[in-house]
Amino acid sequence: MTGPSGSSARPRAEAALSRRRFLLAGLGGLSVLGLGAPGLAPASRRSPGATSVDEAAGGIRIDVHSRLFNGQDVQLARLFDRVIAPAHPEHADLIRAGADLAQALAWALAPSGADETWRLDELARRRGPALAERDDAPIRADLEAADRRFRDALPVVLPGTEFFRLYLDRLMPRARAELGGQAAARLARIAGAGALEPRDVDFLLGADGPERALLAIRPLAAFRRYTYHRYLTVRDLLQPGAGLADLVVPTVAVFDGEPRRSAPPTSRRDQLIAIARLVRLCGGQLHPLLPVDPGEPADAREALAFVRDAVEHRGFAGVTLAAPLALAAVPNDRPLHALLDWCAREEVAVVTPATSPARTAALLVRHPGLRLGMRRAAAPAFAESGAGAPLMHGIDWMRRSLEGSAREIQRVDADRGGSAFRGGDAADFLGLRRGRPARKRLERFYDRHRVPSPAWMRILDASAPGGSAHA
Amino acid sequence: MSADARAEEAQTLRALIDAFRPPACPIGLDAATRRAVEFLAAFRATGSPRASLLDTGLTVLGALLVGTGGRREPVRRRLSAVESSLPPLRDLARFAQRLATVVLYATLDETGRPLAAQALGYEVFEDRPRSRGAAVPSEPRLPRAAIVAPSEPIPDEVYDVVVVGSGAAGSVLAERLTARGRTVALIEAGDYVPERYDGAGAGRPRPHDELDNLLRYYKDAGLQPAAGDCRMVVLQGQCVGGSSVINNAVCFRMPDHRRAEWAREFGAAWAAAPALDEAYDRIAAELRIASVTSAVPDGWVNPSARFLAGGAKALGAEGSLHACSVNIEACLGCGYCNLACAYLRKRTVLQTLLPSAAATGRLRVFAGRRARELVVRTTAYRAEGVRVEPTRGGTDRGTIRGRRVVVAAGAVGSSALLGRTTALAPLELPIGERFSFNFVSPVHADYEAPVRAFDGLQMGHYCVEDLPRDGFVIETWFSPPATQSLALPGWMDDLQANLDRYAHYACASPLVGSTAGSKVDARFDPEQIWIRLGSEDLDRLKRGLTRTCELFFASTPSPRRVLVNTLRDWSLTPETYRARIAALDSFGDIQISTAHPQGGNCLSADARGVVRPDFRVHHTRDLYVVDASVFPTSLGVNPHWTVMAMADLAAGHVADD
Repeated sequence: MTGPSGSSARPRAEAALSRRRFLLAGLGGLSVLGLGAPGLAPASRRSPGATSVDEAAGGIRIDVHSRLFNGQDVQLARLFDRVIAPAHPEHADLIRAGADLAQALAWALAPSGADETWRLDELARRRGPALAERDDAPIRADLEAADRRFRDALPVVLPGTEFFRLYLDRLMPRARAELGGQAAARLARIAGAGALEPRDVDFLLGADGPERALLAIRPLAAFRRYTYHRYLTVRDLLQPGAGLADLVVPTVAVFDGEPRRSAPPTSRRDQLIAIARLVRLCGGQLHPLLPVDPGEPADAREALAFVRDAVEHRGFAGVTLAAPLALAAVPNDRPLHALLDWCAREEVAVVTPATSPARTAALLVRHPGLRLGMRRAAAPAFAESGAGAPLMHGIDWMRRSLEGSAREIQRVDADRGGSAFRGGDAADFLGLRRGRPARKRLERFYDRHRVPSPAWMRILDASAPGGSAHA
Repeated sequence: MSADARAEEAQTLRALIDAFRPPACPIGLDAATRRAVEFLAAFRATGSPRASLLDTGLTVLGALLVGTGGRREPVRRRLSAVESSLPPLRDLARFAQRLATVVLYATLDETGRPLAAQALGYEVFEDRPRSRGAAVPSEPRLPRAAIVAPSEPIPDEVYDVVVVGSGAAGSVLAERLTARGRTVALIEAGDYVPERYDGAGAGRPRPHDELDNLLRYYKDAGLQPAAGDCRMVVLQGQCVGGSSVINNAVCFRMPDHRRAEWAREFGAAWAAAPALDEAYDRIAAELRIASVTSAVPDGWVNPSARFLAGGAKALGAEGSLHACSVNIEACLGCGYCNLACAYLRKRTVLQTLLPSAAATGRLRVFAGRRARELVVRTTAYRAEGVRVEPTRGGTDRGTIRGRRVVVAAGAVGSSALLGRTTALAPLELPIGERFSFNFVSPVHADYEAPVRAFDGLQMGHYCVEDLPRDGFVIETWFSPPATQSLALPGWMDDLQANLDRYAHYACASPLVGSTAGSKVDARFDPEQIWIRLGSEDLDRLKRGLTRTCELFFASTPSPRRVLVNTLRDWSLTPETYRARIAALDSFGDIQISTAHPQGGNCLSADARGVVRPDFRVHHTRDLYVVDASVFPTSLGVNPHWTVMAMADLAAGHVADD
């Protein structure tokens, strides 16, 4: 690919970016607490020098790193506390202080899975099934309404909180030097009054506002993003001409494996119904991975029926196993084995958090042909297992959902001679080549919903099997 | 839920109750908090999937109160700030107020008295002189032997007919079919609650215990939500006997214009035929439906009626006020119709049709079991049974098998059950569409002297002039304080001030039949109710509210003011009410609710229909739907009697088809 030059001296170890590092790198740029699709900044998605699809000479670009959710879908407070705060030790106190607040805002303001499905039905009824192609009034209205709700709510819930105190403490010292006396005075007024008005929210979050200019992270922007419809995030990902990927294969869960204290308002099932509705509106550009948590007995029991329904009828591209313990529990977990047997037989891609090479090897021996993707860059270790199944490692994946990561990917790719991010590998892993069962499933899905052949299919068919793609 | 989470939740509840509790309230904060905690625990134990809404609401409220220290004044300030913001945050504050207020006014002391409610001038019926010596009629009861508890195994039997739902339609079907020699399995998600309060706390709840009665008799403890163009509650019964146990016992025949419309537009010839009148008459005989003037011999009708009558007379519209027909005998006027009439004066299906059916020995009632999915053979779409699970949770799932299946689970439940049945999906029936409902928005008239509207039958009279033209009827209604608080406007001190006038109100509400644009969405579990209302619906409501105000303001004496249940500017005078009501421009401005959901499985001979005019589901065999869900359009009056008469007709199809 054509990428920034002058970085060839980067050490190999740094190039081996793990998924987690991708995530955390994004946070640093303040893709903000946005772990995943929320927090996207569309303007930064395409970095200088990146190639277009046409320029990529037949390569396909598949994004299997994006996350698709809103704040109703997750235990946001726990996510902040357990994942985001440790990644930012310098801001950990601020992030933890804002955890409950962010969750309260998201749980109160964000559309539930059912609300969003209803809204998507309405949008489809009014303007037809082509979410990504037009930027029309109803969609703008949803975005403006979400911003208005947030702008209205923040002054109610923020003043008097420890988070707000810490937040202002971080902004004020550099405000005069960086933003001038007027902005500094305004911040001082806000701090002195201990109150906030809607227009202050605009000030804090503005394009040249204090949060963007003075903070390494952008917490309020992230809080707001978590209150949006999920479809607005997808629309950002798929806007014509703006995307880096021909096909987006997101995971629709972001944080799991934790004991549940207070379940998110939108259940996993409702989230999936909303996402499935969304898939049908995306013209073949969005095919998510279905999360399954085999650690939950009820989930494991019903997992196979659920997965079959999602993969065979709802346009899901594969499965992510949510709990890292899943593989440890494999020997006695009959429902999980039944699920994996089916996935192997039907060539359904499975992504799982990596555990030990031995366990993974045992799994692959037990389920020959299983398309298994690891969520961590552990290629050398797994290569030693000798398993012949199509494995997919973190390093193979294109990461694009976090602000700043595209540049980093380009850098890594350049370091590796343009071979680091192989969209063809992702296509193989997902079984998208012509004639494969997964491809046939998607073709049936398109037929059923009258979706014209999507671009990814044409690009993939035009390229040689295994050909490289460029990020 | 962990002990820590429980403790946090109790702290949140305590802070909320403290914020809304008037300083002079005779119910202590500890007692009210305990009651709230118990209510939540009991609600979760019902197995209602809606309990998670409360969990979420309280979690968010707890987070919003951080920094207040749980102290009364800071919490009040914070809640008021939240209430002044946009929805859905504002809705959350209003939810907190409703929850805290209901708990306060429904908390009983050690003698079983709601002290806070009594401080408003309310008297429980036990303390009213006429309650002494009031005999409970000796009626046939549903024998225990007919009931299969959820803990008991499902018999390995194939019933002639499996009926899902034991309410108005299901009970009629059970009676008619067993009388024809058929064996019937009746599946009911709710519990069987003994008909009579035994005074010792066992069996059914205390007659006046509003919270316990909500938990035992109502689907989702009365919190079944609907969203979309407005957020409102959809009240339905969930107990053996269904909504017939907790309705107001008022009985209306289907209006003529609807009968003609259904026959003409939807191919339901039976709707316009004399056979329907005969069915009404049979039901009337069984339930002893009669005018309220004879059913309430001592005149304990809702006192609100005399103000409506006075207003109608003053306006020259005496003929518009009518006494309701009711399925009540020798009413005591306790005012507990919606709390399941512990004095057994309401002749519900529990006292009439179900005992008759059970007496044949051919009825089994599977109480406390939720119908999960219909068993339908995909080759011929033949129904063969119903998969069930215990409503209160557990893994004891099973199938109740039958040669025919009738879905009679009500407008919401029936649509949800058909929608969940994956075997029916290829038929692409419009399940859940054309959902409609009668909705209300009570109007309170505040009189100088006490009215004591609680002391009498809850609903006894109605006003109607030209129903097809107006699209509404006006009905009297009144409830004990906790329930009544939900219909009163005002935030915090304003609501309290309005509640303080409880004993001075007469109350009536326009009841409007909605257009049929809403939907029951069975993709979700639990199902979602989506409301889509049009300008026609709002216009009808506004006309109904205006007329109700006119009637009250024309009465003698004239009320000091009239309250409508809007968010702001709810206190109206003769000078202001017209302009204020005319200014309503959306359903976001005014609170409405419904207890009459209809539609969802439209009966029609054409492609709009889920069921054919003979009640069989299109393109299927041995599968029927018989309840208000088949209504193509809303009746605009209470549908109870019509549902029963329709089931009477449908029984012939089910038995002989």
